[in-house]
Formats: sequence, structure tokens, C-alpha cells
Amino acid sequence: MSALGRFSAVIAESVVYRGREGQWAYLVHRVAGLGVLLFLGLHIFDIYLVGFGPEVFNATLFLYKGPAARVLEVLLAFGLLFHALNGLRIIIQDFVPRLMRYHRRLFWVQAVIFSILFIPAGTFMLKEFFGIAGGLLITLALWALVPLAVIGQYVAPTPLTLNVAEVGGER
Amino acid sequence: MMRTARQRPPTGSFQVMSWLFMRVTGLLLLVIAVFHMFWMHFIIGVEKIDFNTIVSRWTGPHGAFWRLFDVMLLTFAFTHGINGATNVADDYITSRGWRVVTRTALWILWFALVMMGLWIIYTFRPDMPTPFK
Repeated sequence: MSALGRFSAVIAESVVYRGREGQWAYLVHRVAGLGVLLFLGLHIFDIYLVGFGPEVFNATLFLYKGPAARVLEVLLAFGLLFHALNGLRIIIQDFVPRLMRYHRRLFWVQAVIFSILFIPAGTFMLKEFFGIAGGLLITLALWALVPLAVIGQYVAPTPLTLNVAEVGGER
Repeated sequence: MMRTARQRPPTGSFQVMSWLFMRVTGLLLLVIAVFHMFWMHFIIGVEKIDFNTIVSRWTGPHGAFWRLFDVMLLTFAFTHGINGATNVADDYITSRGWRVVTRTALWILWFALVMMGLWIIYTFRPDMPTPFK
């Protein structure tokens, strides 16, 4: 199976595989990390352009201005904050292995901290274009990924048998 | 019961250093990357950012501080990210040849963008000669 096929198989299986909190945290951690990296590559390039003078640099900044860019910036905040807090949980579990027994509870502590930080932050970032109520609504729609995806893994109809060879587990 | 399953990894190998690097830079980035996003979005505001924002950040009494901050952010974040991307690629690419190709491409990208970033942070002057002047 090609690398791309393997990748889409993992994504497809991840949606229905009932690994619950841990599985979902792993998937979002990975996608968020790649997303932030993609933005970072773009961001290094646009800052490099200040060397081309104010006209070129200011013209490039249209990328980050306006309501559509702002929603993507909130998505970036989601990814950065989730990756940061989930990474912190992984580090704590790595260095205090007995906490692995409580990884599920730790995930929910993490989810509460994430919500307390992300919901006001997203609302504040969006209020310039969408008002407080609109900003809160958009933020909650993004935030809902956390509870919905985890609940979805509990109510999924049947756990699929993961074909290890097919998703690239063989060595 | 799980205690025996987790054995200490051998020390000194590249993989162990890479594992440790991700945790150390991860903790640093937890502070500086989140602070950077907070600063730019909550204190300054994205709509207000333009060329003059960079001028006041990188020159004047606090210029050295912000340039040092940006060098740290650039190198830690992008190295952490590219190293993470090679870990992700290894999960889906199993052939040795393609792994070499992806790793090489990712580290070339790393070198190019880190050099571009460092160059502009170190050499920036508001009146620097530009290719279009």
C-alpha cells in the first residue's frame, strides 16, 4: 500500500476506531502539529520579506487580514493550544510513568484547561469582525470538536478490527 | 503491573536525544510560542501589524531582546516541527529509500527556512537596501 493510501487508511480508521480519549488526543496532536508547522513555514517566509522593504511586506500581509483569516487564526490558536497542553500531558506521563494509569482522567483535566483558555481567547479574537455573540458561536463550533469526537468514540456502533499490516504497522 | 513493560531506553543514541529534544523544546515552546501568539493577537492586534511593527520590535532599546526572542522561537519551533514531521513520515513510509528521500527533503527545507529567518533577524535595518530600490 502506498504511503498516501496508508495515511488515509489511518485517518479513516481513526474516526471509527474506539481508542477513545487517547486515540483522539493522538490524532489531533498529530494533525495540529502538522498544521502549525505548515503555518510556521509560511510565517518564516513572510517575515523574511521585510528585507524586501515596506511595500512588499505590507502587501503580503493581506494573508492575515480580514474575517476569513481571523477564523483560520482561531483554528491556529486551537491547534497550538491543544498541541501544547497535550504535549505537556505526554511529558508528565513520560517522566512520571505511574500517572499513565490515570491518562484518561488527565486528558479530561487537560480538556477543561483547554476550554477555559480557548473559549474566551477565540471569542476575543473574533469579536472585532463578528461581535461577542458571533465570535462565541464560531469558537464553540470549533471547540465542539473536543467533546463531540470523544463522545462519538463511545457511541460508535462496532469497533473495527484494525488491520495492522494495512496501516503500516509491519516492519 | 505495567512497570516492567516500560524499560529505560539506552542513553546516548540519536533516537533518545531526539526524544529528549522534543520534550525540552516542547516545554520551552509551551511558554514562548503561546506567549508570542498571545502578544501578537491580544496585545498588538493582527489588523494593526505592518512594516512599522517590525521596525519598533527589532530596533530601539528592546530590539536586542526581541531579536533574541525571535531567534529562539524560530529555531526551537521549526526544528521541533520538522523533527516531528520526520517522526510522522516514518509512521507511513516504510521503505528505506523513501524514508531517506523524505528526511533529506524535510531537513533541506529546515536549513533553507532557518537560514532565511536568521538572516533577516540578524541583518534587519529599517533602511536596509532592498532588491526593488
